[in-house]
Amino acid sequence: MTTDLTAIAERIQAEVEHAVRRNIKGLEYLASPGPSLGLTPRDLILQRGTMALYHYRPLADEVYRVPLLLVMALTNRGYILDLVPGQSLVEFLLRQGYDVFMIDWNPPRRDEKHLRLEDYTLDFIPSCVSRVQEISGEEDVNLVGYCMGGLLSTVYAALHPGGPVRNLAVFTTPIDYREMKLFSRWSDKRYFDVDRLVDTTGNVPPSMIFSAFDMLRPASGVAAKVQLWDNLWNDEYVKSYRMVDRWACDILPLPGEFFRQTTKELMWENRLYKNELVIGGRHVDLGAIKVPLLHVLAEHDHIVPYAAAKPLVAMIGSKDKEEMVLKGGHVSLVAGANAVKRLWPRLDVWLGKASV
Amino acid sequence: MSQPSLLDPFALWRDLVSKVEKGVNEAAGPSLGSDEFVAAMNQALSASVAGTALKREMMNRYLRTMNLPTRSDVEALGDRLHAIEDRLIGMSATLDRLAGVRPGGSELATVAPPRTKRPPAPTPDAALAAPAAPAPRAPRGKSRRARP
Repeated sequence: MTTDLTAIAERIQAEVEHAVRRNIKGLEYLASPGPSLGLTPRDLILQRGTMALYHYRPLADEVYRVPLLLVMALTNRGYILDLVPGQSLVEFLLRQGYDVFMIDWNPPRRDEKHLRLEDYTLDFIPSCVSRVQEISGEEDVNLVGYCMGGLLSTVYAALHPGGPVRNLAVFTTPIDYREMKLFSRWSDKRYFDVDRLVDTTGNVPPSMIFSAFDMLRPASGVAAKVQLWDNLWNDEYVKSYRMVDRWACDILPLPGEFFRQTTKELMWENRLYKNELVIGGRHVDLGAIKVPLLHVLAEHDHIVPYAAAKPLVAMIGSKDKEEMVLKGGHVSLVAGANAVKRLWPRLDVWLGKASV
Repeated sequence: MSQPSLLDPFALWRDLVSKVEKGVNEAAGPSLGSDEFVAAMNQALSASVAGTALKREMMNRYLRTMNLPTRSDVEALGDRLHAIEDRLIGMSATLDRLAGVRPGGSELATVAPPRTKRPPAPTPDAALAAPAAPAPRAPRGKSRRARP
């Protein structure tokens, strides 16, 4: 009983200390700017409108032969893969000896509202791959795509079965759009007039995309704020929160025609899963992809659920293909403390063998 | 997850926040996917889009009357500037390439490390020994919202 009382007294003392620090840190939080992210040194080596190709400066004395090209999702900034030193996948890959390039996306301009899947998979990615080949002097390129970037990489690889992609690794890549449950319901063609939206807005505004993501877990926004307040005394928690929060709120507009095309052809007609997708007059046959494939999925991904991403491995024509399901959510799969110990070392093992 | 002690109100509070969040998210799923919600949401979206278009048109008429540039005019100028900027970036990159210089300013030959690295021999590693998740369960866990 005495022990219990002592423990309670200690706990109350700790909570009072936290409350005092919470008030002090709370003022600091409001007064200080957000963290600087994406600081790993890099050079812009190709830019055309929304498309930007970066080459990261090497951090190892010796690099793998095959360069590595990261393809980011269209709705988000690439710095989720390069948060801060020690929590940067890009920095990790550079230190492990990879020659890292990244296709990051700028907000599409008004005159880019016409961009479609064709532009990304038959123009932007091929142009970037050519530049990577030119800079590295290597014919082969390894491709890594995250979320929608994984979809673009997969479609690109299917449309270019003759190379130069040597290996393909994708994270949380949606294939079966029937399984994107809430997104699928919200874009029900009986109620959702995508033509009217795109014809009126041009590019789809980021506020709408943010709201859609936020509504998937309506209570999480408030709960996150409550937990932030509770942990304001904890510098590490606040730092991590601000990094991810800044990224999650930094949503890019989507080109209107791309949104119209993906809504109709992927969300409504599920053409990729049905093996009926045609891009630029060419059939996108995932069975044509014969290069080694790694598909990493998050066990608790509420944005791209497991069932939506699962068919990829079965549909790919490669003999050497692997599905890896890791604990975590859509974002914590690639960034944060869990990614450091779960995804990164596994990715390094797979890529290391594939990069010589 | 271990149950918080009944004698620790702070732990109980934190546990309550997590449970309420999980409960609300799970309970909201069917409602957010119902026909009624989807119809109402899309009606609101249509109204918002129509309202935005109407406001834009009215503002354009007003600005034209006042002989002032509209948002479209300013955006068109921005597009032209971006196009010029793209051309300049392309020309600069071409010049850098011809001069054998990286866009960052350093010479290509001096910064490129040899492409001779081999993967390390496989060794039992604590990090790699951690098992991958066997199979997915019902969706739950971290939100896309910031939650370190």
